[in-house]
Amino acid sequence: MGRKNFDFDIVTLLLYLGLVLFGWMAIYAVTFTNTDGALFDLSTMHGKQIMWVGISLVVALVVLSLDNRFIEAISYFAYGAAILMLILVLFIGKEVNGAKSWLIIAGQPFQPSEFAKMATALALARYMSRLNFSLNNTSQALVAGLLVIVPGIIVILQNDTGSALVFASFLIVFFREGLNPFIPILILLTGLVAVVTLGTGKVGWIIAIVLGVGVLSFLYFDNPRYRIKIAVIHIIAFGYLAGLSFSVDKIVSKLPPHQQIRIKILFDPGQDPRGAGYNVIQSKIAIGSGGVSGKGYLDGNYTKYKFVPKQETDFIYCTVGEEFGWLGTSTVLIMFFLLIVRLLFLAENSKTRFARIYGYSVLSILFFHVFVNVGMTIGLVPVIGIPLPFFSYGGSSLLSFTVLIFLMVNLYSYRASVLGSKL
Amino acid sequence: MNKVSNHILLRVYVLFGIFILFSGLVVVRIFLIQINKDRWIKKEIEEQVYFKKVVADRGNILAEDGTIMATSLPFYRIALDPTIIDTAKWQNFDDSLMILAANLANHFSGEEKDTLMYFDRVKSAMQRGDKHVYLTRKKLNFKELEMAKTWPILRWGRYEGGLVIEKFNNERFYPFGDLARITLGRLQDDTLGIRGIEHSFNQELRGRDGYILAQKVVGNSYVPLDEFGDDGSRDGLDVVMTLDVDLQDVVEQALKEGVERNYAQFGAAVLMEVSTGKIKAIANYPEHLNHAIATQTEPGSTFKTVSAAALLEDGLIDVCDTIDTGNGSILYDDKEVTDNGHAWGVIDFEKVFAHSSNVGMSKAVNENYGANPELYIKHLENFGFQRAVNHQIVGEPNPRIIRPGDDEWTIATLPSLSYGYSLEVTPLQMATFYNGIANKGKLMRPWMVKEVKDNSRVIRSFSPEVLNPKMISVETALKVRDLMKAVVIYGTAQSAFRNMPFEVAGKTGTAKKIVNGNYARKYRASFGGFFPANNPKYTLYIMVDEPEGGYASGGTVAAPIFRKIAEKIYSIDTGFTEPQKNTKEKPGKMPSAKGVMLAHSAKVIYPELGIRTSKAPESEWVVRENEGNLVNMQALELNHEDLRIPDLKGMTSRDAINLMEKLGVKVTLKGFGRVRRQSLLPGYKVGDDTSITLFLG
Repeated sequence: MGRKNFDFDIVTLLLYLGLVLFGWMAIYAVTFTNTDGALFDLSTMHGKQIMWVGISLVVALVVLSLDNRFIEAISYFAYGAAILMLILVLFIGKEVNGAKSWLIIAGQPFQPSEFAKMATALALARYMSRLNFSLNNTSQALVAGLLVIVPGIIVILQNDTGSALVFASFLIVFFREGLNPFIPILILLTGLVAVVTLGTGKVGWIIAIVLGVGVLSFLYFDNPRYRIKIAVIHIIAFGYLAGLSFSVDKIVSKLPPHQQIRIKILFDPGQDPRGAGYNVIQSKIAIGSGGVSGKGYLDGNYTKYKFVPKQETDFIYCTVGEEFGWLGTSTVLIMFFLLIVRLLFLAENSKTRFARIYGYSVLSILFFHVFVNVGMTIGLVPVIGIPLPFFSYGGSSLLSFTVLIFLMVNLYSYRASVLGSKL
Repeated sequence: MNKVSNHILLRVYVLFGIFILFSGLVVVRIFLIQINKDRWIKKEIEEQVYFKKVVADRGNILAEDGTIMATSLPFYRIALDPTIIDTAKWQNFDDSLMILAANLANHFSGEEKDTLMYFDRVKSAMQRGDKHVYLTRKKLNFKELEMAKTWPILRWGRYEGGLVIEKFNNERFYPFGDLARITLGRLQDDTLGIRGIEHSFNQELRGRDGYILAQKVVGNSYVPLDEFGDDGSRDGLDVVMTLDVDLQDVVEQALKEGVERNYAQFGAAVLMEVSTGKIKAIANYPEHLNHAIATQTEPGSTFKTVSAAALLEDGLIDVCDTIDTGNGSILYDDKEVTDNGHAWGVIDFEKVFAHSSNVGMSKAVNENYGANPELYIKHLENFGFQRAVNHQIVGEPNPRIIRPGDDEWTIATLPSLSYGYSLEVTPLQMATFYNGIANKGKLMRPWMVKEVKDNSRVIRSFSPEVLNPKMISVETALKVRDLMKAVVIYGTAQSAFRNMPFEVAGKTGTAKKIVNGNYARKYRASFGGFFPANNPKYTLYIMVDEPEGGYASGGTVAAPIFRKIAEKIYSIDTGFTEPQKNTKEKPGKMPSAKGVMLAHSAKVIYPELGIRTSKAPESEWVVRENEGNLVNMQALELNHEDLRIPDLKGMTSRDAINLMEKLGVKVTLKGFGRVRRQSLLPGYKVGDDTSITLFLG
């Protein structure tokens, strides 16, 4: 079946191109030195990134030319391949920065976890778009959950906790598809309690808030039929949260040291200013010194002298902050926000459940990446080594986000070609 | 259905709201950070950026002809971080360690000769879990470091073998070893001069340390903020001495031999150029103290020259006037003055001087100045015995002379002054006086430092300084000279100067030393004089402390040393011609883009000159060549299998020495300034004992 009417979403393409261009400019600013010659010199990072942008655009065209049924058909196959690759990495992977998450394919480093995100999104979309699928069906919900949890666990085994956490973003998909809000709320509260307890140390105060919220929600679901059941669930939840607020210190102390320190410096970057806290302090100084309007493109001292380690990859946002100031960081953020909202629009307006669920997966992954990456450069979230989409240097990340986005653009382009909707 | 879609719509709105909330959170947070721009910029400077000291390169000390006598070079210390080494991975680790220990013991065995000691040092450090253990106390030069890097364990490198290399930029190196050691001085902590020129000219040599704005990064290292900028450091200035390396060597050798042959405590020698007062050599043996400058002693009979000069100048006596020395003994108050067993009877003044009669000289002085000793003292002041004579080396004391009116002054003081007691002077002060005689009454200030230079630019120069234009008349000076010739021809120094190929004028001295407040049978032998006697070029003063055996006198101990030095100098300096004037410095040319250059210099110089260059390679040295209007730079590869002499033309002497040292090549410099010519052509293969002569100009 061909496309009757190619509903090509130009907005997504423009936002994509804008972000990629802005991202390349940031990489150029980091790797720029006065003595460098050609823009396309493949020995420089910005030169290499241009090559990756070119490859990505070609791949985007290929993705757009795929048949939507083909995409749906290969979903499980892709998922299986991803799982196999993830397991393979455990044995023959290359270790970079302590995480054994890279494969060298034809001389190029490649991160299977990037591919696994996309494959999981496809498989989840395929499974959840089954005719009689419902998250209220325990066994079906369990299978859907496992589809996400299995790759996540393997990535944790690779010692790449950052990439594994990305799989948590599928909660957004589940929420959209009717998951009992109790679970995401509980997870959010878990995070909130942990953060506030670690941050303030005022345990009792937290419990009071938690209980207050609980009582309010209890009153809200004032349905006599389920009152006792809800009450029991709430009491268990409160117990869990209260216990958490008492024991979160001990839980944190059981974590590997490098993760502990990352959590600690979130609340006090000055604790290890020459070590783990260094990156966050440097990053904040770089962003802070940019002011409202920035120091000007290619004029950032911090960027120029590479004070912020990993500035071309995980901490690329500093470059924007230093050289373009608050206006620049906000522009980037708004572009990401618009892209996410546009994807939300595409998902909601897709005619197939597969497209919608896939779309939600893409925007969830994107949202998680952007929020966590930007958050860590400004000390809002612990330092988790995940890249900023389209900005961070590296072919693996750019390619995988390109494929993620353009698969959605492809699926959406069949809008007019699909009769009715599977809802 | 409607309810379901409403329900779904609610969820979409919730998600939308969450996105807005989170995005807002980030935007606000960034705004809160960026609105405080000034605070962060302040923090940037306060906490992360600091001033790192850049120690200035210390200046060189050069001999008058430009020979480098002291320079600064990089040196290295090697240590091991045993925690790095995975002993399980390396089979027979202990064997490797033993071979390493044996190598260390063989090559760096200064005071540590024991292979096992090296072995145990590392082993026990490993047991303690130390992260750092020095392999040897010795500081290695570049070649030794390269050699050490080929040994077991060390050749595994930093990350497998745990080799830690510490570089010391400013290690002082004295190409001539101990030559003029005490006069050049030495350094403490490579920056602070102690003793000698290093101390006296520390300010100039030291240079000014600079600071670079540096950024601390993880791992206790730093990134310079502006690597092309001026760090504000100024290299130390070079100090050019009046010393002559060859003459210094001659004087030191002869003095050493003399001191050792006579089992003396120590000896000191000062060689001055008559017409200028330049110190051409100054030696002490053993080199513990700079006796020549700092040790004050009663000079004894060499001081009779002073008395003779005073008497003759005042016309109170003439050389042929007779004096009755009787049986060689005379009493002043209750102090007896003797002629050490001689009884010369009635002799003329020349013989009094030539035979060094204490009785005769004391009588002459006491009879003529006894009524007015101030007159005699006045002469001493005119002769330079008033205060320290040199202005350049710290540590010279003022002469100590007992004066009329002092508590110690007695009737016996003037007679004892007349032959060199009751006063304390240094060998340098005596040499200065003798030089005044040689210079026909014109007393010159002794000086040792000629110029302070910044590469080839003279910052400060010193010139001959007259202390007293006429301490005695020319006639008197010639008379004194004739007296001194008599000493050599038939007097106390006769035996030492038998068959001398040229004429010498001098005076012996054999001073009794005071031990526990009394004059003991211990002596201090000295000889002061100049040569050639009739047209003196050099003044030489020798002092030997406590020679033993035989009859240890100025004539038998000090005079032979004097003779040996005089003869050698005579053979080196044929005809005693005036030293050639250094050719005028040529004006600096544009540096030709050819040959080797320090990479960091190239990075600074070419942008300054506005000359385009190729990208500077990451190496310490670069080879440059012209390529159109572009200067092409390539890393200088030091292939230690096949070392070749590079083109050194245009390099500063300091850079050239530094580079040659890395190649293990011995360098001899001729002249000043930049390298103009090199004795080995570029491409010459470096062997084990290669040496090169660089002609500067």
